[in-house]
Amino acid sequence: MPVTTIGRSLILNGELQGKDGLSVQGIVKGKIEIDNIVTVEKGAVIKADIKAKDVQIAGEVKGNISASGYVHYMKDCTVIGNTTTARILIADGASIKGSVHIDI
Amino acid sequence: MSKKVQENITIFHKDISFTGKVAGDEAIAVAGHMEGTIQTSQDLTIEKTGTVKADVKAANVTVSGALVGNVDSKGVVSITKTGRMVGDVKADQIIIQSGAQYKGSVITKASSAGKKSQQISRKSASGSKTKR
Repeated sequence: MPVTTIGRSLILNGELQGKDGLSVQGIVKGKIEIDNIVTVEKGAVIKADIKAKDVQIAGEVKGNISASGYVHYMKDCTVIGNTTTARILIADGASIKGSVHIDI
Repeated sequence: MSKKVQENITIFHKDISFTGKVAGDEAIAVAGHMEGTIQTSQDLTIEKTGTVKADVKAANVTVSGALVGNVDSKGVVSITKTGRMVGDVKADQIIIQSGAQYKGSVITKASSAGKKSQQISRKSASGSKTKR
């Protein structure tokens, strides 16, 4: 599966959609809808609602996260927003503000 | 085409579509669909499968897919044999390969440096085969 990586110096303002994997190192504002895994890398800033199969966050996210698979909040990530997911893993050191809703 | 070695390149793959504004300082390749504006200090490549409906500002631009929009380039704009483009080009140099489809007007550095900026007629209908 090809993964689209939004580079460190890029700023995206708008709506990102697709079936491929997505990895963000830069800044994305708007909306993200991916039928695959979304990885927010360390240093990345997202101001958008994320809807994906799986979500992995090590950077900063301001927005609601909805995943049909799993959500993985890694060490040192910052998340402000509500989370809806089937499975969740929150690592020690993750900062989270918002509600978590586990859908079974 | 670029002299510099590019450390970074962001590739928007085939199944990714983006609507909005992209800005940055790295090379961008589009194999998916993109609408809006694209601005980078590095190169932009539109791959065979790429469709872009945007105003573009970049160093060098290579169009192998489809591009609808105006291009403002500091370097070379090249439309390859699989490329299709509609829009105005402002660039240092332009290359339109045989087989490329292009409709629009062109301003190159050479022409704007001349007495009057020479514009290629807007109606160089699609399918026109222009060799550099």
